[in-house]
Amino acid sequence: MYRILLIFLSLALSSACLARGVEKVDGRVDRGPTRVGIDYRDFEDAASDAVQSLLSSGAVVNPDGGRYVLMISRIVNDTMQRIDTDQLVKKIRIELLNSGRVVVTTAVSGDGAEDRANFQVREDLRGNDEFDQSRVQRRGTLVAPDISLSGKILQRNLTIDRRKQQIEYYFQLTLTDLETGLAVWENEFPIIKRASNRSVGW
Amino acid sequence: MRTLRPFLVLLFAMALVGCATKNPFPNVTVYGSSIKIYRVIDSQTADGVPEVVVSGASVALNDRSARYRAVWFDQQSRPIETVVSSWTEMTLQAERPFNLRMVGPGAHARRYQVEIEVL
Repeated sequence: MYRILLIFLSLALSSACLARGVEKVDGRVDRGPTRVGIDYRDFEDAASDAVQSLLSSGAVVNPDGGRYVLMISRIVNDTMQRIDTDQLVKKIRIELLNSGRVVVTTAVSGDGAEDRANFQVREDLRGNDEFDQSRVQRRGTLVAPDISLSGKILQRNLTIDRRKQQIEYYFQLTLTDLETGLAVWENEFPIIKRASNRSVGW
Repeated sequence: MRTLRPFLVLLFAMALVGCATKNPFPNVTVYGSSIKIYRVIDSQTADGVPEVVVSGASVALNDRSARYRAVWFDQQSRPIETVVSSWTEMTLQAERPFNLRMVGPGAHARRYQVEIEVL
C-alpha cells in the first residue's frame, strides 16, 4: 500500500517539476544564457550586421532604377553542427524585400529551383486540355536574376588551456553581380565564444 | 527661518533649472549610469537609407557589459519590425570612448530611438 502511495507521489512531483521547467521566451528581450553552439541570437546578430552593411554600402541599389532580382546561391555549412542555413538567409531576404531594393527569385537557386511550382505549372499545364490555356504561364516570362548571394559558415575550435576552449564562428557572405561575375559586396561576421572544455558545440 | 529663506529660494531656483535642462540628445535613451553621450550624427546614404552614429564614453572605472539598439519608425511613427533593431551586445571599456553605428532598414525609416542599456 505504501509502495503504491510512494510511486504516485513521486510521479506527481516529477510531473509538477516538468511543467514548472517550461517557459516561453520573448526573443526580442531574451537575456538567457548563451550556448556553445550557434543559437537564434547568433543568426539574428549575423543577419542584422549583414543587412546594415548591405544597405549602407549601396550594393543593392539598381542604377537603372527598380529592384534588383536576387538569387540565393549556396550557403555552405562548414561547422560541426547541423544547421539549416535558411535561419540566416531567410532573415536577410525578408529585410532586403522590405527595404524595397531587392526582390528574390524562387525559380533559380544554388540547388535548383527553390520553388518547383515555377516549372511544374509550365511543364504539366501547358498544352493540357483540362486547363484554360489563356491562364497558363506563357514562355519567356520568368525573370532572370541580376545578383546572387552566396556564403559560408565556418567553425574553429581552439584550446586555451586545460579547462577552457574558444569556439569561433565566421559568417561569410558575398554578393555577386551576375552580369560581370564580380563580387560587389562582402561581409564577415565573427562570433567568438569561450567555454569549459567539457562543453560540446553540437 | 528668515536666514534660511535665501537658501530655500536658491535651492528652489536650482531645482527649477535642473528640471528645465533638456536632454541634448532626445533620440538617445540610456538605461543605467556609467556612460556619457557627447555626439549624435544623423546621415543618409545616397538612396535615402538613414544612419545614426552615437559617440560617447564610459565613465566607469571598470569594464561593463552593455547592449544597444535603434528602434526605427516609419512616416506614420509606427515602429518597424526589423532584424536591424535587435539588441547588440558590447563591452564598455573603462573610461574609454565608443562609437555605435546603426543603419535603418530602408528609406521608409524616418525616425529612430536609440536605446543603450548598461547591465
